[in-house]
Amino acid sequence: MHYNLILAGTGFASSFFLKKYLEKSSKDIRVLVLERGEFIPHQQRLQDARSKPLGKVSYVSGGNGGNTFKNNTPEKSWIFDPSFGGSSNCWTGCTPRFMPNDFEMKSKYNVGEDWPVTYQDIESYYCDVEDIMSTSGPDITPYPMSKKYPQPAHELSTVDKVLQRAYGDQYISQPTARSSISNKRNKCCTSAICHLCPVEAKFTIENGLKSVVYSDPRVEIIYQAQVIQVDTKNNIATGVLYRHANQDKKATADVIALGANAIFNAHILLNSGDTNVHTGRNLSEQVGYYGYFDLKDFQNVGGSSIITANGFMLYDGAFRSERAACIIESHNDVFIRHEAGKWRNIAKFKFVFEDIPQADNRVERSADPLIPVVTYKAHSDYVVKGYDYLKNNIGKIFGSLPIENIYLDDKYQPSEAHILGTARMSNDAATGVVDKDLRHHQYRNLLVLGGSAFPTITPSNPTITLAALSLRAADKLI
Amino acid sequence: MNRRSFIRFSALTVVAAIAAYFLLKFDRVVRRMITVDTDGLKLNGEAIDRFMADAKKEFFWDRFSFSKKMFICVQHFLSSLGIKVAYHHKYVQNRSVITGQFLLSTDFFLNKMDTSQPVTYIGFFNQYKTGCSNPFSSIRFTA
Repeated sequence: MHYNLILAGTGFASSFFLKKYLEKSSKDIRVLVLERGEFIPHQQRLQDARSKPLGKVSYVSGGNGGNTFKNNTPEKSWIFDPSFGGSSNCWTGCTPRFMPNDFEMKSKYNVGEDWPVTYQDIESYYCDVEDIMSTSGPDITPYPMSKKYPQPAHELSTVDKVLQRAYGDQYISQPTARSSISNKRNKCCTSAICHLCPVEAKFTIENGLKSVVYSDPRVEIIYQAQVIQVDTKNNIATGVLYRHANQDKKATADVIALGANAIFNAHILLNSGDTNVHTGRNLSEQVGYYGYFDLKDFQNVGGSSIITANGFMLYDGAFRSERAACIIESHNDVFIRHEAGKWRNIAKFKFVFEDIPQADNRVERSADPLIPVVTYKAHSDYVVKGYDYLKNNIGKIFGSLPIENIYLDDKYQPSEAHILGTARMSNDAATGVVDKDLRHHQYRNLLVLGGSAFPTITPSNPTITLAALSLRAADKLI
Repeated sequence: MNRRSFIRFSALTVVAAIAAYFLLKFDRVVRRMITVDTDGLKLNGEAIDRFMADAKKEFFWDRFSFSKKMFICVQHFLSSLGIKVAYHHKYVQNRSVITGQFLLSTDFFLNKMDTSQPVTYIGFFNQYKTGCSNPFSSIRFTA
């Protein structure tokens, strides 16, 4: 069977790409979607969690991504959900945009790489993604917006209000795909288990795009079909080899789009004989540390979502030529302080640092064509310098709060649940794998979607940006 | 068994004995922490017993690794002697998680932390079963 498009994966990157692709295509096209996992409805996931003892409920209910690849450095974990909808099932729904300078790190700060697209190039696509996800956020943001967020901002907590008074538009209610009003989804009520929202307040591919995109009669979807490689001839992608029901099968198409995560996109390219020196390299993500603040005679209450605010006061500036920037998350889950009478006199922040990708952190092939090998040696000194600055100045930065004690973790989190790099965007094949339209430099009818295309790792959460890049890629393709 | 093997075996035996001692003590340490932290609340006498029984049923302590349990017991022991060693704050955080899980399983936060009211155990706190149950959110407080 020959198709106009074969798409690997059903996560954010694939689903946003397919939405735009279908909108711009004629009625007689045919699309094959190959999803490696199953469709596990949200209600089934929730039922499963409710039927188990609390201690047995796992973070990723769609399966354990850890069994799908060999991790040479298990102290560094990579979290994803290999089932329909991908990581939209387990994400927290944080949707701050990148800052304009994130796309120009080399030009502005002489570190990392410039992206081949600018903030302005994708600004309208950001707006489209925010509409589709029906995101909530404030009217004033540190980055320019041509359109307001579709939903009003979530309520700040008492702690956030103090910090917003101190920092103005550098400290805002977190932009998020967790609804602040009952609209397309239910209103978020701060259940604080966003990986499996019990009230369906969070955007997922299932509740946001499944009925629009995957029910389209032009689309055929095969579950439990893992793409192994792209077949190529004379620098043209001709089709894919995939495994389904323990059998290897082939399908051909005019255009192939890989929308797996950065581990598997790279692995498929390597299996396909891609010899670009950057393919599989620069596997990265942000580096996060928690900080706990005991507050004197001050209760931290009143926020309306799990992460109530983002602080941008350490995000952008000339310092980025020396040390990593960070975005601050104000957390609002059900933590307490154990001391009587001071139960909620505590704040919890997460400090999420950008990183400069390191070529030695990489994805490689194993003897098994279905199983990639992942090696992550370390994050860069750039992060270490950013963390040291925070550690030395944290009291001053949060000086407007009535602080008794600050405990900043000295150990970073094993994962930020983002998988980035490995097929970076660039202007040419010498410096990257795909171009600004996410088309492979060598195989021009092969697109590599998602976070694998990120040439630098920003502090902000990547989802809304990779979704915007997917919309743009489909828009430019047709 | 040569001398070196004997010393190694003896050291391992001592470490294992200490580990076993503290692990057996983990339940008692948890009870002690909750009792101290909730001193001053009008706690129903059975509340801690019911919490401990439910915690076992819910495999709640599976979330605490062997080394974490050891760490909590040792830090608790030293702390009770007035000694604070490295990573004391991590002990405090774990203690807050335990006492928090207990209090969230009562009606204490539902009653807006009113210490004049009796505190009743209402069931093991489980956000998957009871959504919208964050007692510090905008539903219950205005910032």
